Amino acid sequence: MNSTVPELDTATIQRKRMSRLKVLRIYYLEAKYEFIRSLRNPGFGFPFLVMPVVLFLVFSALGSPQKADPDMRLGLFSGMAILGIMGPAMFGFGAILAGERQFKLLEFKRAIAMPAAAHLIGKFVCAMAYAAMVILVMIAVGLVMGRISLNATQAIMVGLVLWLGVLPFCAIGFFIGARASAHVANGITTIVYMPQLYFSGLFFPLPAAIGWIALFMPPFYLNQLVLGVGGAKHIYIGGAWFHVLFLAVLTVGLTLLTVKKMTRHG
Amino acid sequence: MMASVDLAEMEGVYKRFGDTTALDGFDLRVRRGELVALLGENGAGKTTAISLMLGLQTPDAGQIRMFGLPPGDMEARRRLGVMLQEVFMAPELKVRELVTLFASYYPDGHDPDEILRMTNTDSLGDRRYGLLSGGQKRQVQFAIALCGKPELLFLDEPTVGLDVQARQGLWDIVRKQVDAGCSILLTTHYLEEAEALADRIVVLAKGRVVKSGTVKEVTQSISTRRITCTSRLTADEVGSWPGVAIAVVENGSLKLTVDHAELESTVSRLLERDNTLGDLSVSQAGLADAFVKITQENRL
Repeated sequence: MNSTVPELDTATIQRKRMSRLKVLRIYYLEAKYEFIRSLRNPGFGFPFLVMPVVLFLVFSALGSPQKADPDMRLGLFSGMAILGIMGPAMFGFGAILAGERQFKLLEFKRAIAMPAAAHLIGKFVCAMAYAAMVILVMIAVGLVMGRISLNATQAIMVGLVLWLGVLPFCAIGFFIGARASAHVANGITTIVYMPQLYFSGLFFPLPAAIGWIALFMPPFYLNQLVLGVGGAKHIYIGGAWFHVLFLAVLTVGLTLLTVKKMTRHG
Repeated sequence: MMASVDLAEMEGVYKRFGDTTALDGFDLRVRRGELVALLGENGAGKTTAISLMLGLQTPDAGQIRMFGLPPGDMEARRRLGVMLQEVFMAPELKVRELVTLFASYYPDGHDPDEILRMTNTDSLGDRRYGLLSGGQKRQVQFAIALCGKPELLFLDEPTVGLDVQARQGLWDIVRKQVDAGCSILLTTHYLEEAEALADRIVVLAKGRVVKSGTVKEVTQSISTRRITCTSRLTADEVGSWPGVAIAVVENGSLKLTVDHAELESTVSRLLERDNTLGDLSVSQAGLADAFVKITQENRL
């Protein structure tokens, strides 16, 4: 034992403060490295960015109705963009978070000096940044190649709605990631992800007998909002306030339930 | 005058999980600049004690203070370094990136390159964590535990999976940290590690401290001696003799841990039963022998 070291005194306890700039740097680095992780993960980053763009270009070049009708082309664009933003948000928060939770990374970070929410905020910022990238690429490709017809305001509004539309999918992934074990989280996320794509009627109308199922699918509401701000009057259903309310309630509700669970059990 | 406090202090701590009592009136103090080895069999309560000190769980009863503050307080956490037994790290990130991220949590953390050099892991800096061997991952986790210049370091089985050279290297760094005033709470199943490093040993059984003191005090507290010899007698045969706590054959030598009161009779019997007996030596039992004896006594 080293006897030359001064004893700890209570007066020095409060001195290890961090400047706001240093605290902000923690959040920045969490988001930065989460983003780098996503890009380096061959099963995650690239497919979610490239697949929607390629599918949009392929399908928008096929078949006369979609090619001719601007509303239908915007519908196809919206569906593919939603496909692109849903994946990183749901899988980033769902499967990856479940692994980090089960294999004690979150516990470790709670034990050391990480600010309480930094890890999750990092993931959230990463999902938002990823979505921004997908949306910008989709809009740029759609406009440059003449596959969508939007004026500047409409393009900005479509981009903004899609970008904010990431939030409910983050909340769904967050909800799964906080509960499921690492071994099943990927499967559960896929089970939740895939039916949403089909039953929300993003890519083709549902048969009339099961059309009501779309009302329970978050992508349906986001799609409607995109169609609304993009000026697709023929295929827009319902009032914007209801679509926003549905997505907001879903996001806030799931987030509160998850925060409560994680605060109790980690 | 400023009040002096222990870096970690647990007093009369109780913790139950259902019907299982993990800690049963547990007491522990860690003073500045000392290395305390917390020893115990699996399920003795070591992990629970560490979780409580780190603020990851709350005690059912008793008092815990870290740097004079409640466990989990951010001011206390900024003074801690932690190396858990198993922890997931992002496999896609490079070692330098991981160290940069974890060092950012601390007000005056080490420069990432500096900590990699200090822990002899600078050659791993540009490699992805997921591609490292188990031993290399432990070395990186050790570097991460040190990156905040901790005043109190928790090391949970730090050398599992390390080769002899890496283990010696880690021990050297641990000694330097203690010399620089860092306190360390070490849990390990390698008793030679505790023997080589610890200023104080705390043996835990059934959630209670059953022995505490320096390595010398703990080994001398048991009236046990070690007999080593070459013999054609088997460990099973000798192990059944009265007073023989442990009998094993290692590297061709028969090694016995014997109660001091039965020492003479055991030596006589060895000589009587085996006229080829050779290289006979008797010594004070080591920490491993003491640990086995103490935990056996407290298992009953």
